[in-house]
Amino acid sequence: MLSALVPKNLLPLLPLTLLATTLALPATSFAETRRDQVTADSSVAASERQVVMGISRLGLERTRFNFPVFYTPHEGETRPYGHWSVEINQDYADATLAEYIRFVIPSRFDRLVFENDEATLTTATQVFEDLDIGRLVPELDSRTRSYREFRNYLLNHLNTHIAPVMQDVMGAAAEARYEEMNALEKNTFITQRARQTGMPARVLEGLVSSSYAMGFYLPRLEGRMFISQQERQRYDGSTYYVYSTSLQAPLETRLVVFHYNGEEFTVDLQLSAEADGIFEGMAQQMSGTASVTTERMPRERDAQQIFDEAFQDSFKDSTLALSTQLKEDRRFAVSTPVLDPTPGRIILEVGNQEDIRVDQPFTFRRVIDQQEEVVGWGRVRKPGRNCLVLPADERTPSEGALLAGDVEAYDLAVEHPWTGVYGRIGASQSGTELTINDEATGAGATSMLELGFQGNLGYLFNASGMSEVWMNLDLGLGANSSGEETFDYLEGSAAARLRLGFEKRFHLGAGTYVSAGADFGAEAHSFTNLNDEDKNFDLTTYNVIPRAELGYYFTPNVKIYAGAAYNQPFGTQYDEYDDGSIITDELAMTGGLNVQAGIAFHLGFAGPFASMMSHPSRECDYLRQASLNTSSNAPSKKR
Amino acid sequence: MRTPIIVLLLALLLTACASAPESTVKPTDPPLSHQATLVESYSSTENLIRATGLGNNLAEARDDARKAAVWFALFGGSNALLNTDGQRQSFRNYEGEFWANAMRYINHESGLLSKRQEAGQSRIERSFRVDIAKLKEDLVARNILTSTQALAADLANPRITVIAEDPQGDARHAANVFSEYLQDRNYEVQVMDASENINEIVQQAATLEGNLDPMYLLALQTGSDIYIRVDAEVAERQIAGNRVAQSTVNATAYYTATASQLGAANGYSEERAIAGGAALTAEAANDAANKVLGQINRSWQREAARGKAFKVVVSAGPSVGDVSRNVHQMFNQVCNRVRRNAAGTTSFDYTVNCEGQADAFELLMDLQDNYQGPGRVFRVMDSGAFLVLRIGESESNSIIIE
Repeated sequence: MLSALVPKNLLPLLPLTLLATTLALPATSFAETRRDQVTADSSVAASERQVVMGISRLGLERTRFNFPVFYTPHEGETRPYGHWSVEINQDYADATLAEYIRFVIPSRFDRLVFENDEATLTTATQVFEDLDIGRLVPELDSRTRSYREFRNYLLNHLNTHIAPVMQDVMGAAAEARYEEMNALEKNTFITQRARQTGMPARVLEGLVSSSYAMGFYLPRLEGRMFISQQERQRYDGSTYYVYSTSLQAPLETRLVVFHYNGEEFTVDLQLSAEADGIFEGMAQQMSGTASVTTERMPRERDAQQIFDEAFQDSFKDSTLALSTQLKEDRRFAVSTPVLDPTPGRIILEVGNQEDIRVDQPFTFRRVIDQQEEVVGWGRVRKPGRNCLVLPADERTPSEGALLAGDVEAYDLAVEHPWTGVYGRIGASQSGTELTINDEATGAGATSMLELGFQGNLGYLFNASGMSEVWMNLDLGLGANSSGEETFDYLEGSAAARLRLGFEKRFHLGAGTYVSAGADFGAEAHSFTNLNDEDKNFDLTTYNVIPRAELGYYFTPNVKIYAGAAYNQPFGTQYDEYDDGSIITDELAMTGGLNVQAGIAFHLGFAGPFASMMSHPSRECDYLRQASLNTSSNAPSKKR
Repeated sequence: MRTPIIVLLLALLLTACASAPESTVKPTDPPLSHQATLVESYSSTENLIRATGLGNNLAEARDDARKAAVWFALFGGSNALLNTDGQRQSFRNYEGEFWANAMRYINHESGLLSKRQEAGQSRIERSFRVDIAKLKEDLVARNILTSTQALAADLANPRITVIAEDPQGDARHAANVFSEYLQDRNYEVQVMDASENINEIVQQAATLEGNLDPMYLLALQTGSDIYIRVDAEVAERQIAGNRVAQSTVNATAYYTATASQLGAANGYSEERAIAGGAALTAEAANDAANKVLGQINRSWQREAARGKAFKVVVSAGPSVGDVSRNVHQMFNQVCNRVRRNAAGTTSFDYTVNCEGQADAFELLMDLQDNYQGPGRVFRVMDSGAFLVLRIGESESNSIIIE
């Protein structure tokens, strides 16, 4: 059961301890060049900025999509209602890509843009614009293609029109990029006594012969539309009908990364925002769902509005998923040596320049007997304000906390790919009890299997004040206990609960934490009357559930938890028995202790929390622009 | 109740002992690591050294790396301060002091350049700017370098002429950097270029031996003990619209008296994207100077044991007849090593090693005093290690070379 729910790529993590060997590194002896001798090797070297060109055209397999429509009349059976089609306009698709591309290409990258016969390369501190490339780069056409055709089309375009001028464009900004590097040559004759930057040619060659182009592609959409007729009641008691129309059409956006090796582009990475496991599938469905309620039966043309809404959120979630997948490749993840290993205040020289958010996890790695091993992990509590355009003494590093394992100075902190969202599955037992006319029945204690999602609000909103504040959304399905003694005719049947809540976690070290929080819950209980099946009834209660929890992380991605809560109903709703007669008895649920335990695992999609994810920080971009605008001596550089 | 607490405390203590091995390294112990490499000569008194440190923890490894850097300055590479067995033996009596005070000799220390854990030990690398002058001072203060000092006092540092092969190009700049480098190290240096005029007498005197290399002649003229020919080349290319260049400086050192080569080195800059070539040439010259100076020092100390070398050219006037025997005897009486390079009937070219004469003029006086033969010894020209004599009845400024 568990293996079906946990994404396949997380399964191996379950039994792992923190000392997981991740990457073998060769031992290095003294390096060749003078620069190599005064710069750090891979065991402690911070990652460097990469140049990335985001291709602004979203590849489309189709521009028109057909969805089967299902209609459910009030109290009726669901039936097929034909097919409706929606269109996606290339401009709209490109605008959506432009809106969310920064999740994949934030300001940690130097960005390269080609337009007509000019190029612009934006580094952390400079903008090299209007670089004349001496040729016209034609616009990408908007023909629909299969993924394979699109990939080949982009590759051909890049190699035909971009590759021949890449070195010159990159060369224009090389000196500025060198000055922004972590691995600068320092304290040598040339830098100190001759007072020259003196970028080594080997570094220059590296800078001009490595960059990436990223293309996005949207394959054919699979989805369904549901129209549900719902009865509503006016104040005067009369009824009317509304139509709720929802579209489930999760996008499985693809990302193809091309690497420029100094001569040509080649396909380097191909990622797809496909769900891995049932939970990710559910999460993806949730972000790919939009609905609208109308007073009239919707028509095909209404579908477009719903589609546009679903498209935005689902595309955003798919870019989050792609961004997370991309960071699994060390070339695109941030790494930095630990400057201060104090467990409660670990100092890392990264921050908003690298789009490091509140509660971003980092793994701490050490080379032990020739192999890089993860020795601990932690989370950033206060992201640094480290824009490179700021004077060095005005930059602040990130502060983090060790959550498990060990850390010492100059361990390499590596950004852990994370969406801030976990799926969880657990079991709960509630001690609530049904009362009829204030008499305890013994029925109503629920046993549930709960599936849910948890999102870290500090990370989602990138707000330090919300660090380790988690929001949860859980659905429980189970059964009620049966009545006792004089109420032994009451047989508990199905129970369901929807919980929405928040908790604040306090980490204790060694991967453990305690949390305190509260949920708002809506519970539906069904009871069968064994004496008279016409007197079966349902009731719904609304509960406040204060709770406390103890949890343990096996890895940053997998944890177990157990907790206790008090399920306090504050409202009960019931109407009639199954035979339609009004319930005249006074039904209520008493409060009761609720215990729960389960396992949670990281999801590659933000799912229900996708819409809450704030955009990557642009402060560094604004500061750079302000600096360039106000500096009379250093306007945007032109070649 | 107490027993479980005691057991728990003992368990904790044992755990702590097991996880943090107690250091057995004392500050006065020599470095565990002897891995270090010279990055470059940073200044006249400082070398930049990348060193590895080993220890049970990072702090121990850092201390060990500092010791390893100092160890390298003392014992490692081609320019080690302690290069004789005697010096090394003397050092052993004081080494604890040096290791314990390793930081005293480190002017700058980089951040961590590498960090690994091997067989339970921390292994780190850092670069250090080691103050060679201070280290030398302390070695001298403890008489570890006494013999070298005495030698230096007897002989003084050699006078060096640095000659740029190309008066207009990068070689001239390299020669200037070379000169600065040597002057910083208390050498008496003169910079010349190959285009400078050569005295006619020098030309004539050199004719006998047949070596008419203008730089050799210049060195003779300036009276240096050693001359260094410096040539520089800057090679450049374009990478993505950026000019990158690399400078190579070739330095060859010769004894002026014998024109024999005593060392040669090529210095390289990194290939860099940089405007102009001056900084690169400086970087390469600095590299070459560091290499060649080590060779000069070692050879000069060896040579010093034989006495100071002079080139002496003697021209006999027609009136004194054959004085070859007398000249040879004269040299043998004054100097302890005499080599006749070339000779005709009336002209003789000698290289001699003599003790007690600081320069050619002092040698002249001694030769005059010890000459036994027809005529007298007259000075035609003297400059440092080069002396031109005339034996005749009367003084004259001209010589005849056959």
